Amino acid sequence: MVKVNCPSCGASVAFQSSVSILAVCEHCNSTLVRHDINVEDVGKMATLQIDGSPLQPGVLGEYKGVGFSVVGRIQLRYDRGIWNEWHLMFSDGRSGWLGEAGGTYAVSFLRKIDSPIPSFETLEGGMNLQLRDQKFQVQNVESARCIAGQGELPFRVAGGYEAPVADLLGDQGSFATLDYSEDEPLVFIGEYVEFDDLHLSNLREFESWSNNSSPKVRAFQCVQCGGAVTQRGLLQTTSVVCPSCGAVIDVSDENLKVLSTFEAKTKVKPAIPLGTRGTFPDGEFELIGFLQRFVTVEGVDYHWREYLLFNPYKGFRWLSEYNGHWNYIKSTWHRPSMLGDGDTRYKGRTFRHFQSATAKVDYVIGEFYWRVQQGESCLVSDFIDPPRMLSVENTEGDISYSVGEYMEPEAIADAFKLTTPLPTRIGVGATQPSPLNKAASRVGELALAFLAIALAIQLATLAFSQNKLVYQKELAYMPADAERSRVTEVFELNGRASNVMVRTRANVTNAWIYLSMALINDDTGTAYDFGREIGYYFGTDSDGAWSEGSQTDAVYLPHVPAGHYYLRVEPEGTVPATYMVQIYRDVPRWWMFLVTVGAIVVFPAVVLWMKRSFEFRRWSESDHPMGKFMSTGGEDDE
Amino acid sequence: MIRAFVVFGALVLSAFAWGTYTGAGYVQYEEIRDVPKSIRNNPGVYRSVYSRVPHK
Repeated sequence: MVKVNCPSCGASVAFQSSVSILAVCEHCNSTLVRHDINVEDVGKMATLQIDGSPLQPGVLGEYKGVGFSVVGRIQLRYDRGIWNEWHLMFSDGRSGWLGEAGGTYAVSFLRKIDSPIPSFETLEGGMNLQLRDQKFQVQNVESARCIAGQGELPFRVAGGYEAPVADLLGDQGSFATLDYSEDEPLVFIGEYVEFDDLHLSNLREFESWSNNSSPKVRAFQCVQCGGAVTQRGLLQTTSVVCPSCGAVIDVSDENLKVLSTFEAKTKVKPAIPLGTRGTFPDGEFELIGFLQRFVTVEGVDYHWREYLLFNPYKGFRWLSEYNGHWNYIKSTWHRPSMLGDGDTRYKGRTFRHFQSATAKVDYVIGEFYWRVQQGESCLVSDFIDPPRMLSVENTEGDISYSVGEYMEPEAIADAFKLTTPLPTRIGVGATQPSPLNKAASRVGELALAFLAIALAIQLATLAFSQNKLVYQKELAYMPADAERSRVTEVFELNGRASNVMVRTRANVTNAWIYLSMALINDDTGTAYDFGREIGYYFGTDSDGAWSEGSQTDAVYLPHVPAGHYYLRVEPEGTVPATYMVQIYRDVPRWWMFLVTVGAIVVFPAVVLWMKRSFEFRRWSESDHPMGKFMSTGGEDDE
Repeated sequence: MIRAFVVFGALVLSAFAWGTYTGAGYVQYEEIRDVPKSIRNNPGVYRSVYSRVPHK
């Protein structure tokens, strides 16, 4: 660190970073430029515009395991508002930049690029560029204006200079800035980062956010109607809508210029009052804006509502509500990759295209970080991977991405500690997780386990069944016999009580024989009485040869105890025949296994049908409704 | 739902195991007790339940 005395006021001014050549005196605002051994006072630095940045010189942080301190900044004005580039001094000696605006943070480093850089005039949105093996797409081209510098900086800066810049977005949240304010364009390459990942300390404190006090607002009179207007966004918002007359007031303009006026036919009351704070997984946020948008599909307007949430450190979040279904939404700088089938891939997950439509704003109250206008429209494309949604908004070539996640209405009510009821949930939300997802997966696993058990039982049955021929005899039948009945010798059935298969075969052709049979237990006198018919016919007709019936038959008597048995057979028929009787003990069978499999499969099939029905209802309002293979059922799933 | 399926599956598998073990099946038959031993010597005296079943 090098300390010098300010030539203008004598105060001590420190150059903490060896790469810093400029420092602004904190006491007299003189701009000091460091030469080899002297400092030169090149005049007063312009005054910084008061903004709502949570950063300040002296903030400490960490990026990829390397500590840094904030030593200075350049404050720039873009068309969309103020953007700060904070000069970082890393503990390993590197110098870097932390871009910050509205809760968006991006770390970048000055890089030397050997390949030629396109001129500023040739750049346009959507153009693809390759810088150091990385592919980028031009997102925004505009001339920013430097408002002022603060602290120490690695180059000379003066308020008011124009900085033609282009913002490029790469893959995986990487970005690049092309700065054409010098003869040779400067290239800064880095990535967007999350606030929490920077582990920042010594942050600027905001009264109503640092000590759990009640929300603080700035109140002023509407320049159009004189009504009371409040601003909650701590100088991070750009426009505020007068609740009385609908005037959109530019709060970044010192004269509070009226940009436009909303002329809503009917007022829409937000389900959550403005100024309410809610606690979400990534922090506490205050509701500062509300708007209603709509799309028109086949002549029908579909309205949904969006709630803008604000945290001075983490920026903005959105809550969207449609038919009582809520999504918690956050901007993302991870550019998704479009797939050939219209779907998109984001952070390793595939999001299916749900719908695309031109959305228009038709009602607003509260404040916003852009200059909201009545009727402003953008092309919105939604992709879903329930419970997540990826939205791509294209406003005149300016493309922005956001990711949302479904929230149960009860979770919304809990987050804001609401006592009033939220809109009733109707139908199935685009990102609503199917209540059957987990159950279906578990039922599927259980069904597989049950099937495996059933198969094991069946295999064990096949392996251990006796399946034994215990008796067989061939008998003859003559219609003219005075006594047709026959009895067999006694045979023994062993083992547990199980089935007995009686198989019969008769040499009947174009004839039948009916066998009235009784399997009689010689020990107990219990008879199993049954009858079987064997008939076999064949011939030819105009269609060719045909046959019907069979010369064999089998019947299974269940649960026959062990013992000594004989079979009584009483044949009946019109032609003489010989017939064979075979007795099998404990014969394995497949029908019960198949019935069991069927019974087991029914349950998951029903669950699958219910799950598909849920998806049918989900996609019914998309650009890709599913085939009408079933009734959609009731509308209200509450 | 999971519990119901577990119960249902257990019942189905139990029935399957029991049916397989005992050789359960469906066939039209009558169980007649105390058939006299004389049938072995004179089978014609037995009157089968199914001897009068209409057929072709």
